[in-house]
Amino acid sequence: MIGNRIAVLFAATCVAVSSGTPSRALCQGDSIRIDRRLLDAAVRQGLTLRFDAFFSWIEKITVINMIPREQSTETVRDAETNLAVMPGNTSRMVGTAFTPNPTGSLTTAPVYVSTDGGNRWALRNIVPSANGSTGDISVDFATRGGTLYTGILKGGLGLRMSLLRTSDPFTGGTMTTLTDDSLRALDQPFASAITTTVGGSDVDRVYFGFNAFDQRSTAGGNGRTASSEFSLDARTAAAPAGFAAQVIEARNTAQQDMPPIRHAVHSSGVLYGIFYRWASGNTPSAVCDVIVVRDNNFASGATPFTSVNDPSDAVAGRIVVSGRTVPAFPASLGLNRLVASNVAIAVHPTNAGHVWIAWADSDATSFYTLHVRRSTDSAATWSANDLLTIPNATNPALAVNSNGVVAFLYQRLTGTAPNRRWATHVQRTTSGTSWSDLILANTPDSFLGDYLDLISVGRNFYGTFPAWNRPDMANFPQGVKYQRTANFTTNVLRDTLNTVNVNESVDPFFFKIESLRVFDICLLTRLCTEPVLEPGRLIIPVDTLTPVRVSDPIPKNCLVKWNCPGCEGGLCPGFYHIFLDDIDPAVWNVEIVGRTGETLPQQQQRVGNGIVVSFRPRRDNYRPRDIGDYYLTLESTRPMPKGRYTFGTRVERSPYPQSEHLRRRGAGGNAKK
Amino acid sequence: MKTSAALVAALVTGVLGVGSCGRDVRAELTSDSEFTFIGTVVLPRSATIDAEDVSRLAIVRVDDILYSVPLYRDLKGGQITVQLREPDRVKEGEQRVFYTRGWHLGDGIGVVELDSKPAPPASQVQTLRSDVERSRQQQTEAQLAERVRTAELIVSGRVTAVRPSTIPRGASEHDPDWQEADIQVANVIRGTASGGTVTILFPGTDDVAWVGWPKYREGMEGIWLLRSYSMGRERLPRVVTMQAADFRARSEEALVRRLAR
Repeated sequence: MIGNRIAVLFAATCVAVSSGTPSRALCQGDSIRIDRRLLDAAVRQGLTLRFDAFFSWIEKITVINMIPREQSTETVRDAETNLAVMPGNTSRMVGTAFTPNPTGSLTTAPVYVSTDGGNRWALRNIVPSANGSTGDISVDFATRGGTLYTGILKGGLGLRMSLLRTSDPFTGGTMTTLTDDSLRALDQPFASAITTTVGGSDVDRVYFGFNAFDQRSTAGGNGRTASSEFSLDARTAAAPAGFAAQVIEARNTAQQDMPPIRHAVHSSGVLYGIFYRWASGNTPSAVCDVIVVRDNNFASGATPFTSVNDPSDAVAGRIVVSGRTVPAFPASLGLNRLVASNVAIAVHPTNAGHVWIAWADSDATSFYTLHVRRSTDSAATWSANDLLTIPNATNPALAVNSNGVVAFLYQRLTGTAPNRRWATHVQRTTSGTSWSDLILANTPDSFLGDYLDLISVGRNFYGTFPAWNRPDMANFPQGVKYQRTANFTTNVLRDTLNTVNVNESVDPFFFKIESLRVFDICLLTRLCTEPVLEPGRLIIPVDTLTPVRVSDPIPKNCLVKWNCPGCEGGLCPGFYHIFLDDIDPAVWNVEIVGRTGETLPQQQQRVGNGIVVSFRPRRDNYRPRDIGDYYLTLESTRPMPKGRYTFGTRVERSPYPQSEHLRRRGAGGNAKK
Repeated sequence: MKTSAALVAALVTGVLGVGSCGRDVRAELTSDSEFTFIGTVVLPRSATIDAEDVSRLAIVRVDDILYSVPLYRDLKGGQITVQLREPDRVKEGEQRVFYTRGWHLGDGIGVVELDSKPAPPASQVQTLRSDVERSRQQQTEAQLAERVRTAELIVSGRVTAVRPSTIPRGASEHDPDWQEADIQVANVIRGTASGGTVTILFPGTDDVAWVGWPKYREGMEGIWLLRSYSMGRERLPRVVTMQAADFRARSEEALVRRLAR
């Protein structure tokens, strides 16, 4: 069933285009014929669709400045971004940056939250702090259950590391502190979480790579500082929820390992870690090895992270490269500091033996060069040469999607002072030998921080990066949307009420690269079914065995199918609850989308023998008589036999979101209509 | 209309919670409140922000602002979402005084209720406003008193020299890059400062881990509330100031002296 669904959906993404004329796709699965003119028209309508010539498919790219409109006057350095996307519901995300509490409070710091797939972001003050900000911060959702795990250096307290948890970052309060190392000096906690099944129950395995700075030899430690603090069942247990620290460096060092320790964890239990071992020399030209460790069973055994040795010394941890000079402490690239913080690792979601890494060093190519390599035998051996080499670049991040497409995100410095710029790239490949390059931003030189983030869920990629926030479309080749007030004609930032100019600074940006969705396919092709209009019924006629897609404009529904209530009372606009009877959500994916097909915050649940989908129109896209420019989309999860599929349907309005509306409806019989 | 002093006291006691022991029992929550306002509950169990679980939420219209951090100063007349402490005690249409803290910002505003009370009659609002302001001033002083109480050494004076410290730097992006500042001591308020000079440490880095720690330049004058500090188990050889509140204006010397007694 799942394979069939992927094949169908993937076919939908493999849309071939040739200039001006319909053509056949050259990728997997069935192709879809489209007219290039339709694509151009859709782009003119504001859809961020893009034909990728390398992959010969059309994809959807979204770039968003994450600063909320209400924070339009802020000018702080919101750098060093991180991101978590809820795997079971990718409309829900949490982002982080060096952003202080907007109220000025010192006791909590904010994260960014989105419930509409990253199109809009808000700040939530839910991170414990001592100065209203965080030091380092990294977040990850477990695969199932919705629990968010967070590692921080507690704001205002130097290198005091805390590990946190919340079962609901979207409505909950301050996160629960699971560990708080007040007596240690620890650095750069970086989160990786996964859910697995044990005895029929879900358990969250959670790993934080971190650097035990207080164990450096110059502070009296043994110099083996690359570490992991992990729990094999972190979801509900009381603090410390099973978290315990483990050193993963098995060799001696010159003084310490460098700050970043990153993990990649596979659902099979194979767990990787990567770090720089400071082997010799002194800063700012420390000589390092790049080490990859592996554990075959979630680090649950007596000797975790010892599943792969290096053939040179039979010690745990494969030395991928050695003797590399890593400029840091002090060093800089443009206006960004270099702090030996640039390693990345990703594992293929369906093949635990295929693992990709990236690191930075100084080589003949440039002062600071990124390298990408791959292992196809679980880190035992590695590609002898770089699969990709990027000079003058930093902040690498890697992810592999469910189709095996590898994405590599980084920021490259171009130009010469005083006109240097950071170009934020995503390169993608399936083979490792040839790559598709996409530039997300090309912005003036600035501080960036020591990491950014890239993740995959299914076939889509999601990421965050820091960049200078001058509102200039020329700086964002794939387009960009600002939530904060900005004038793209005069290229100035404005305050919330658009009365005065605001200085430029560094902001966090979110992006996603998605395959096409029902709305897009219906706009670009004739492969969608036109529903029959009848009062109170949604009828989908199907002529032949085929996957079915419907994109049904809600104003049209209001004309014929529904009596659409207006805005009287309580909350304006209120919530609209669309009931579809006799529909099986296992067979039909139902969603409400906006005027350009964008995801909206919405709730959906089974009611009786059907479903109810609820949403609240945006103020800027609301018309009391027909709700607004929204679409009800349906997609069958499998080819549907010939027939007429009829669902009873109606709409109810109330000032309450779905759960409360249904509660009142159940209690009182009928909700307000 | 005149109101007797006794009635005012009774109202204040009821609304703000001034206890007979002389200490405002509401003082702490009032001063912790970032947004204190009189609001009308428009709709319990709903929200102006995106939220699925609204069982503890309510839409509240801001009728009058008694205290606000700058972020919320323009909210009068608008509707916000309040995460209620005790949802069952709040009724639709009821006007209450809300003591709140910031929670959600973006596509609407949400605050967390620290506490709330039924709103006083209009004639008593100004009294309440004054009480809130006084309570905040008291709390500000209490916070300073706590910094003073926990300081090991308090001196007033002037920075005469600043230089890099000899503490070795580590390979961390958060290395503080410790700097030393010599303070020519004018007055010792607590502790001892032999030789008339105190040397303190402060982070020279602009790294995020040290945001809020004061930085010093030659010629700066003030009062320093100084304390020991350890990075993990490594105790620094000299004292530090950890917050902006630990470096005070010289004009506050009498206040600091009083609190240091």
